[in-house]
Parts: sequence; structure tokens; C-alpha cells
Amino acid sequence: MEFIVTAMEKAPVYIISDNIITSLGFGTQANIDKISDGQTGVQCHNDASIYPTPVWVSKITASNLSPAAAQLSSPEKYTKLEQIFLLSVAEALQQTSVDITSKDTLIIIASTKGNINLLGDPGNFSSDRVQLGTMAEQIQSYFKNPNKPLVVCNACISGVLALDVAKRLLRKNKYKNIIVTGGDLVTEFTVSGFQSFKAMSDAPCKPYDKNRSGINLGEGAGTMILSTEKPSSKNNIITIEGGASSNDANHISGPSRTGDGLFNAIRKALNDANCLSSEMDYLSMHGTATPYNDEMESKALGLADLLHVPMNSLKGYIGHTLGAAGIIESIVAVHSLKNNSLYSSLGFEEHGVTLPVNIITRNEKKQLQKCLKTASGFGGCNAAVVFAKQNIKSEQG
Amino acid sequence: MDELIEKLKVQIIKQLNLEDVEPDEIDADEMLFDADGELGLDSIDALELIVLLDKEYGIKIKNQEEGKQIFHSLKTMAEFILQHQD
Amino acid sequence: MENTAATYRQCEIKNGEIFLNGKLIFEKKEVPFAKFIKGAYKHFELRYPKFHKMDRLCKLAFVTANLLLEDNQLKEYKPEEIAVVMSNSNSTLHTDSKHANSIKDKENYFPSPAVFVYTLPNIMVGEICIRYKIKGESVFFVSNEYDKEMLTEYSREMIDCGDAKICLCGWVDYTEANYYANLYLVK
Repeated sequence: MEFIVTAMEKAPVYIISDNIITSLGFGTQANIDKISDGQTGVQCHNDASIYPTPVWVSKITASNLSPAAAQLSSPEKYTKLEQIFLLSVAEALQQTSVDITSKDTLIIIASTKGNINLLGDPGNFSSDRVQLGTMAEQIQSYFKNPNKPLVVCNACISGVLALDVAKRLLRKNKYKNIIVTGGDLVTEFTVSGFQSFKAMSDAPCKPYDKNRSGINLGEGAGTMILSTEKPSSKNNIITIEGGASSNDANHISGPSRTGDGLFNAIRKALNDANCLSSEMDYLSMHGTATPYNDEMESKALGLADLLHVPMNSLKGYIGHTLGAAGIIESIVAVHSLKNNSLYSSLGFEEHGVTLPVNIITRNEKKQLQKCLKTASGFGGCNAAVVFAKQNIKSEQG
Repeated sequence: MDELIEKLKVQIIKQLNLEDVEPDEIDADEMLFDADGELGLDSIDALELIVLLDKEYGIKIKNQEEGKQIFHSLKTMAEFILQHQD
Repeated sequence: MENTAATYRQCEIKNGEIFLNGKLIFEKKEVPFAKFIKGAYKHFELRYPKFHKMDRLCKLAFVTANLLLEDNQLKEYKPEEIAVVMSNSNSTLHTDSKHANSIKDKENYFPSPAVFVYTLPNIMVGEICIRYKIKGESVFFVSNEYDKEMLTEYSREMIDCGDAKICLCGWVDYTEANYYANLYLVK
């Protein structure tokens, strides 16, 4: 299938800073350190406010969040998820000279359920806080940004898709900077729902493993600040080179058996990045550890001629953070490129998908230039983005 | 057994939102999850049947794999219920 | 680059009425939504067994899309060439409440997968894609107001840079108090 790539000017998309907040810690480095150490934030929680019986999830405790949130102006005005978003954006912003009050700066938020924990019992907040648009307004007004934020609400691909949306807008110079932030909570709402799908593991999850039995839900936020302006002093400049989404058109909750849909998204993203499969040094996959998702991904990688490329899923470290997943995991992928580090796919022991994918089984230092991040979700949706490290010697401006 | 099967027909129609399907249109021996079948049941329906067994009969099924044999037909479902009900 | 893609053909559903390109093609006022949408489904002979499993939001999206796309509007396009850009303000609030109610009582705790699956607004996109074999790019935005201009511009740019040849766009929102759907094509 031919797509006409016109020779029009496409502004570059630089990643100029990032932040991760999960049960592993506050800050990208804190998370990467724990991941590098093989530590997981997934634990067994016996908490009736989450589910009647114990569940394995990755949660940010109040004792960790409260002191951090105290740094915000009037933290009590914000919900738990909003506090996490605000902290994440604020910290990412601090690393840059981006003026968030400028018309040239847009905020894009990725979330599947937002403040859903307020549904039916909003506490001190007004009931309309459950609306994602209203949640977005809180974030916009906290930072005094003049533009209405975009909210991408597209199941588990929301994070990766939000990056693709940002890519589109930046390439056309609609904005100079875009702050892409993704977040979701572990709530009884989502836990009970995934339990009804028998999709949750009653142990730490095992992506791609023969004995995998489902997901661990996780909560957190990830923020990436993107810009058309090249960062001045940084060495390892990472760009978003391409991205795409697709639909399986097969079933609303089950992934396609053929992997066609994800393959299409991957192929289109590579095409958009003017890259070949052979140029990919690392794959950061969705890898939820359900029997069907991981199998489907292996099929897609087979179709895309990517079976040999080292890959991992990060869900074993932080759980499935839904709307945050695509951003948090992309940030780790970006740092993998920067650090020339491949992190092992936690939970994997015995090969359990049909095709011979190349799972990273122990941390490794390796020259890495380009990587692919994928996601798939309910509704039959798929998304993929390509990240590349700029070669300092052959800068192309 | 027949009484249970008739009861199940009504319950399944309700649980699975099978509008325009009458109880007498479902055959007790018919494969419920036949790809070419009339009922057009899918993986979500299989999970809903697990909820039905729990809600109406207090029987807990762990996962879809376990459900496969049980939900082969209305007859196998009824037999399973009779064997496992308290 | 000039935006060469143009908007044409739209379907709108509100207050018990259905309009295609501004012309009233169906009405059934003074009845609850469920009766209205089922009436429309039967009147237009949409014949799609899975319709009855959908939640109200998806039924609204489905009927609107069907009427927009009848007469083979997508015939000349390959599945990967068709994109979908949709939005609403309440996400899936009505079904969210239904799911929340199913887990309120610990003694009667039976969350339903058939309900939970509809607690994501992009599922309506999935249902439309399955029905019409649409495999291209898609995105679902949530915003308090319907920003038709933004959606149209976003779709036009997808078309202008070659990521799609036609785009199904618009807004489908449902709450018990009110519902509104406006879907249109951009090519």
C-alpha cells in the first residue's frame, strides 16, 4: 500500500525533558534506577476499597504522595490524579526554559478514566470533576496556560496516541512546544472491570511467558515535553521520527488473532519515520501479559520482520498504567537510547508465544540509535511511534 | 433437568441481551459458541456466562479455559450446575 | 500547504429527530431514548444483531454512522485509507454509572464484562470500524465543548499529509438528561 509522502516541510520533534511518577518513585531517574535494579512496584494489596479480595497492583501510597504534593500550591484543591499530573508536569517543566504560559505551548493529556474515583462520591469536589474536560481545565489553569488542553481518551493506546497527535501538531508548527502528560489511577472501578474480564493475574505479571495469566494494574503519570526547537546543550538528542495508529476492525475487546492491525500501525509508523525495520535496535512493546495480547504482538512482529530485535515489556515493573502507560514506557525507551541500555523484561522466564521474539532477559549495554514503541487497546486500536537518537557528528538541523 | 434448561434459556437471553431470540429457538444440544451458529456468541458472552453461573447458582469459574467445556451447550451447562450446586 | 480536503455529508441526531444533510429523515419524539433509537434501528432496517449488546452511547453512534455511510459512501476506499476522529464531553458516563452500581453492594457484587467494555469512549469507534471494516488511523478526544473546527482541521491535515483519504469525524455524546450526535465526512 503506497502512501504519498510529500516533500513538504516537516518541523522536527525533539524530546526536551520528561518525568515519571509511579510506585517505583518520583522522577524519571528514580524509576529507571529501580528498573535497572530489577525491582518491581507491583505488590499484593488487601484493600477492600480496591477490591473485595487481595489483588496484585502497583499503587502510589498516600505516604509517598502527600509530602510531594505539599510542594504544589494549594494541593487540597486537587484530586489525587490531578496532584500526580501537576507534580509530573511541574518537574518536567523545571528541566527546561519552556514558557507554559505562552500561546505557543499546548498541553495534551492522555487518560482513560481520569477522576473516576469521584463517581458517585465526589467528596469535597464538585461532581463535574469526573469529566475529563473539567479535569483538564484544572491542569491548564494551575499552569496558567492559555490554550484549551487536548484530552486523548483512547483506551490503553492513549499515551502513545497522544505523542502521535503532538507529533502532527508540531510538524505543522501549530505550536512550538507541547507538554504531553498521561495518567490514570488504580481504582475499584477499573480493578473490578478487569476482574470481570478474568484479565488480572493473581501474581506479578509475566509478559510473553508460557505461564502468563493476565495483567497487574498500575497507577502513575508520565510527562514528555516536546519542542520544534533543538535543545542547545544536550548530548543525546532524541526525536520522535514517526508515528501512526490503526484499527483491527475485528472485535471490541479481543485482539486480532493475526496481528494485522498492530502490524499496520508499525509499518505506517516506520514509513512515516522513513525507517526500515532493520534499523530498529530495540522494541518497547505493550506486553500486558494476557494470553491473547502477547500472542498477537508476536504475530505482528513476525509480519513486520522485527522478531530478531531485542524487546521488552515494562508492565512487570510498574503494572499496566493505562493512560499513563504509553508515556511512561516511551520515556524509559528514550532513556534506553540515551544510556545505550537494554533493560530486562521483568517476569519473563519461559518463551510462551508462537513466534521466536527476542525478549531481553538480562540488562545489557549496547549501542542503540532507534527504537519502536507500540500499544494496543480495547476497541481494536493500535499505535506505534519511532524514536531516534541524533548522531552528533551528522547533525541535520 | 428440563426445567433447569428452560430456566437457563430465559436467563441467558436476559444476561446476554439476546433481543429477538425466543427461548424455544434455542436448542439444548446446540453448540452455544458455534462460529456459524444463530446466536453469534463471542468471548464477552462467555465471560457473561461465568457471571451468570456465579450470580444465579453461586458457582465460581476461574477463567475462560475452564468455561469452554461447561458452556459447550445448554445441556452441558445444566449438567454442570446440577453437579456443582450446593 | 493549502488545506484541500473538504467537508461534505453529515448526519445529526437530537431531541428525537434525525437529520441527514440538514433534511429530517426520521422522528420519534416524546419517547425515552432507548425506544427512540430502537425505533430508528428498525425503521432504517439496519439489521445488525450485535446492536442489542451495545450501550446507549454506542447505539447512538452506530445509528448516526449507518445513516451517514449508507449508499456505500466508503466503497471506493481501502480499509487503511479511512480515518476516524471523534469526540464527546461525557466520555462514557452513563455506562460508568451502570458499572459503578454493579459494584456498590458487596453482598451483590457482580461486575459485568459486557457493561465494563463500554466504559471507554473509543469503543464506539471500534464498533463503527468493525461494521464498516475501517482499519486506518483514529483518535478520540474528550472536551467539554464540541470543537468541530479543531476536528475538521485535524482530519484535513491527516488527509493532506497522506495518512488518510477520507475521514469520519464528529461528536457523539449521551447522558440521561441529553444526547447529541453529529457525524460528518471529510475528504
